[in-house]
Amino acid sequence: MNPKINSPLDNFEEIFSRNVSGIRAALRGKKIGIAGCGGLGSNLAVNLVRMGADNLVLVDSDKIEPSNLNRQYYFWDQIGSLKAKALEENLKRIHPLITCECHSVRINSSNLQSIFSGCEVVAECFDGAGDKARLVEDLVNKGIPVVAVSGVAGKNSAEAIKIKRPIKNLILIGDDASPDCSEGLISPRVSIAAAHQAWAIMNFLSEGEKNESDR
Amino acid sequence: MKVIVNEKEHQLTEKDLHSLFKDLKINPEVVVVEKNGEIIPRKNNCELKDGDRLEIIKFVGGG
Repeated sequence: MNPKINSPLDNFEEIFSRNVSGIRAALRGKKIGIAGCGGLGSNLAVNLVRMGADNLVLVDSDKIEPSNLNRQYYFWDQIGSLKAKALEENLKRIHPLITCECHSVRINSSNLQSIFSGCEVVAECFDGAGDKARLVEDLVNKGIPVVAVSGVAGKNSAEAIKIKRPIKNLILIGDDASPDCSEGLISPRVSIAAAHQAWAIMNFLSEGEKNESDR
Repeated sequence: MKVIVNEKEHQLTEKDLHSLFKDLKINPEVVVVEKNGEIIPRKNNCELKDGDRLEIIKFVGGG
């Protein structure tokens, strides 16, 4: 379902009239990969679109379940829908003119490069620790910049969630004290990590812009 | 023989990555390892030399 577009094309830029100057321009047209459209991926995508990102690759093989609604950007009437498609639908309700490339598949080392081909940066938004490590290793190995998350479960203070740059091509968000997700996940901590990811991607792409213009 | 793991010195008894994992009680399934600036596929064991600098990034679940 595509939301109704009934205003002239130019009016959509009004969405960004209260943005910090230059942010929409830094994100416009840049292809950004989102690996996993759960708690992190769905909230991240919303933040990116609100800042002006308009070219996203959304990857998730799962369907929406009731237990997702405690933290993921979906609605009760979307239960049973494929996450990647439902997220595209929700994002287009914010900005109807964005481009989303949806892949309802599981990512592995052999399909990864073709799925994220042309992406300036990929966000790791998986749930399982092993899946996170595997994806980050594969992407960093291929020289693709990654913004990953580790350490958002439990109910510790969200102030502990920080942004670190442990190795080249990796920005890592999380706290060092967080338990595994078996202890449960709450919306504020997951949303804050996703918002940090959005900020880190914006900052990374803005710095790229700056370096381009310095040359 | 000493290696640097996440900026801290570590004494090694066995000179390979998988023994280091055992020493530090690290599950190789949930880490990304960089040695002297290069990613080391964690499934492949590798030899460690005195003074090697390792960055071991451990992932926990949740998202």
